[in-house]
Amino acid sequence: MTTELATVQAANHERQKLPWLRFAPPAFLVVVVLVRGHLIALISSHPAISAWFTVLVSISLQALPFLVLGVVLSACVRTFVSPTALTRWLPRSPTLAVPVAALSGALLPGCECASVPIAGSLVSRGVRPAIAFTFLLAAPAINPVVLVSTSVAFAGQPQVVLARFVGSLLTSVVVGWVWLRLGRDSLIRMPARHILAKSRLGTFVGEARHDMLHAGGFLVVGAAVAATINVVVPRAWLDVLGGSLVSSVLVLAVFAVIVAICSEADAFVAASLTQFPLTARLVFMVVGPVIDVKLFSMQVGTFGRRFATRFAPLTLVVAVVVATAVGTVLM
Amino acid sequence: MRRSAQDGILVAIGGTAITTVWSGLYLNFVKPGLRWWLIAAGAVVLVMGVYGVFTDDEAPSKGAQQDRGVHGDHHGPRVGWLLLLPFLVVSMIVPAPLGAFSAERDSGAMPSTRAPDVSLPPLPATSAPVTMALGEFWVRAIFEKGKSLSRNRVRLVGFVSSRRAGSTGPGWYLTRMAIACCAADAWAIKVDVRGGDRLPDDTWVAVTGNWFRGAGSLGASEALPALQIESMRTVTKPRDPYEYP
Repeated sequence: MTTELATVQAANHERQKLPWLRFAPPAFLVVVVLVRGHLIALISSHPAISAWFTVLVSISLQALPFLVLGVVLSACVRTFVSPTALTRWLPRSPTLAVPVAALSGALLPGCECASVPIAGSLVSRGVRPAIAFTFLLAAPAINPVVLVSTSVAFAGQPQVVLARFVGSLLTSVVVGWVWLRLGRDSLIRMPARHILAKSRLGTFVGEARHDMLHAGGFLVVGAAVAATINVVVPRAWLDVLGGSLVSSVLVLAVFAVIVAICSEADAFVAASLTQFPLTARLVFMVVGPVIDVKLFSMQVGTFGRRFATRFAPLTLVVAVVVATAVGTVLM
Repeated sequence: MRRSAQDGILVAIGGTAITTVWSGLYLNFVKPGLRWWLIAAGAVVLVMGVYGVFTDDEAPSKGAQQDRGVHGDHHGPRVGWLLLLPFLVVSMIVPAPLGAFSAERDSGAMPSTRAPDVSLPPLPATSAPVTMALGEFWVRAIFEKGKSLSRNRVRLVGFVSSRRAGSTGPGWYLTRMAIACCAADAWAIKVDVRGGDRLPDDTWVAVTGNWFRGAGSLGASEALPALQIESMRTVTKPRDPYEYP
């Protein structure tokens, strides 16, 4: 309650300092409408800007169905599932609950945009954060839709699908266990929510509205970063960088983080990176669904910056190490 | 952010998602398979927004009233405004599909992992040109070493891209972008053409001609398939500008 009050006071203070800020978005809209013709001319004469907008829109449009799925499911959890029901369903021992949470990620046929709001709702319903995070990491990587698209992209190489499943599952379980032992849940700052509705339906819509605007806004931030990378860094640069196994693993791990391709499509990109060894491409497919710029942006929004700046590097390191090991053993 | 603004944003997003599918504009950005998903998601968001506009469902709690009384708009995350950006862009600026700019930054070679398991059926025994996708031409020319292409003339539709970024030299590639899911994962499929006029980048053309053994080593994934142009004409951009694996 105190933190909530502090947040309100801080927001209040800020608003008194910048009273014009509330008029900024509508004013911006009016300006955009007025200069629309010039804007279109400017953009179509600069192919890089035009490509930037196309990529930004396509990431947002493609993520919308998954975002809505995640937002509706998480509003269901927040509104209709009692905290005791969730904890009863999971094993009492947190150490055991982590792998159970990872495996139940296979039940959510979505991509990473769906799992962030759901993990947020699980934490708010009293699930231990480490367990919710395990689900957050596993769900976008091991669900049937992703595995099928991987098998289509790597036709005739079933060991890639197996390696991806094992690598992603292990990554999420290891991160879950590490956070259980070493993580500090006090780092998590969930933004205060003010959903006070008279009816159940009102609460449900209120929760969904809040998540949609919040997770969606951060999604757009991540999409803008990914679009910038797409336009600024030519794919051909990758050809120069792929050499030894170590350097190609590192290059594709970084590439996975900055391009932020949806987990349902990343297998096709991985399949096309033929200049890299198969293990490095597995790293790309294991890292992408658990951490990338848009996921990081959404984690900052949902769990707070202090949490995300610790959790994201942990995830990245575990994913790279696990995927390299699994790739060496299985492929 | 005020409640009315939040509901307005939701209505705008939902409405835009549905209208881009309706107008076919969504094909500039994502694969056609997402059509019904986009409509469903747009409808859910639209209904959420409309529900909010027509119901004042908020319970009068002490905290809430204080919030409203003091600064009126403490009820929504301000970052939500950003959600308007991509959807405003769609309806106001209407970005073009990825074209020569993106293609020139990609090698245009198709990885051998995309070679189909079974060989493609033979082409019909006809003297008329056979229309095919650039991806299919690639598979027949490179992965099947041109076996099925030697007798037929083919007709390909794509856009013009330069051999090197920014170059306006005589050589050009007939190009099509391919996507797996959305334009963020796009790669280029290029065909090396000989003959024909050098038109400006991003001009859509239909080209008729004969496959021939190009300069590149046959079967190597770096080599592009080659086409000797017999005739070409400009066409309007196809409704669906991309190819799919």
